[in-house]
Amino acid sequence: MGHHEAMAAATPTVERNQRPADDEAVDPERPWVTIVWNDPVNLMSYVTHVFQKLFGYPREKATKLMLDVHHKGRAVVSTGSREQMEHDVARLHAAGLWATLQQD
Amino acid sequence: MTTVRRTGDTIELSLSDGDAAMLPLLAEQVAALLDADSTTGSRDPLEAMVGFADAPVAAPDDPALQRLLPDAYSAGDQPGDGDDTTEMSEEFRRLMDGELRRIKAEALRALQSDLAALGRDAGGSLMLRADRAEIWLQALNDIRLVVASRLDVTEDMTEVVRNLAPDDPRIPLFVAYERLTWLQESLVAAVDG
Repeated sequence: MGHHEAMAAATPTVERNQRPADDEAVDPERPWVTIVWNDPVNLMSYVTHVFQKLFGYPREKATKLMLDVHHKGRAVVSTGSREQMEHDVARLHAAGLWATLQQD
Repeated sequence: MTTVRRTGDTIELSLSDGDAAMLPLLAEQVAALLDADSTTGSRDPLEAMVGFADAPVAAPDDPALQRLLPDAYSAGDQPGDGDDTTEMSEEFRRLMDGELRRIKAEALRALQSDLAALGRDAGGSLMLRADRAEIWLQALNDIRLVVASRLDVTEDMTEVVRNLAPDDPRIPLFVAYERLTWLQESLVAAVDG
């Protein structure tokens, strides 16, 4: 039975050293951001829950980000290196949220 | 009647016969959808071992699968703006598509196996620990995303439902969607409470 197995599986990891050196146009100085986009299906309560669980945000911050997604159509939920943002996007996709990364 | 109640660290999910019959069918359909179009289905044993494809993976054609496995890269103020990000998204899929499908299928299987313990199409009580409830939330959300995509759900869904003709063939799926939404909402409240 896999409580453990399943929990481990719920955290995807990006294989970083497999990434080829691509995308010369990418400016290494500018940070990357993870954006969550509004969609009509995901519940406000669930989105808030996922932000708390994945990022460890306090309830207030998670709620504010969720409301930004809901009212403004999008919110930046994390900032960092490209690899970190790929990891965050993968975890958000695993949870069923509509997330992308882009350079700020 | 289905009820969700938290006692200490455990969530008691008492499912009606109807919900207990509906959930495994929908879970199975979503699992089949993830599997049928899988990038990992036809790859060679070496690829299976290293865990990712040897070439960039294109986005799926099915709109429901596109929502389960969206493009990872964007540029600009709309998620679809990034024409020049297609290559990066396909490279992300090369590395992640198989694993994300596996994670989602595993959550659906967990839900199916919990339901199977209740017996065929029969309601009953499930005791879910917090980590198990988390997996249920994930599975329920993916099922809702697929059903919503088939129904073309938009923000003003109430309006759509109100205008449905009494003999509209989509009514059972709308009912299922409403049940799933209620169940997920109740489960989030129980987990967070």
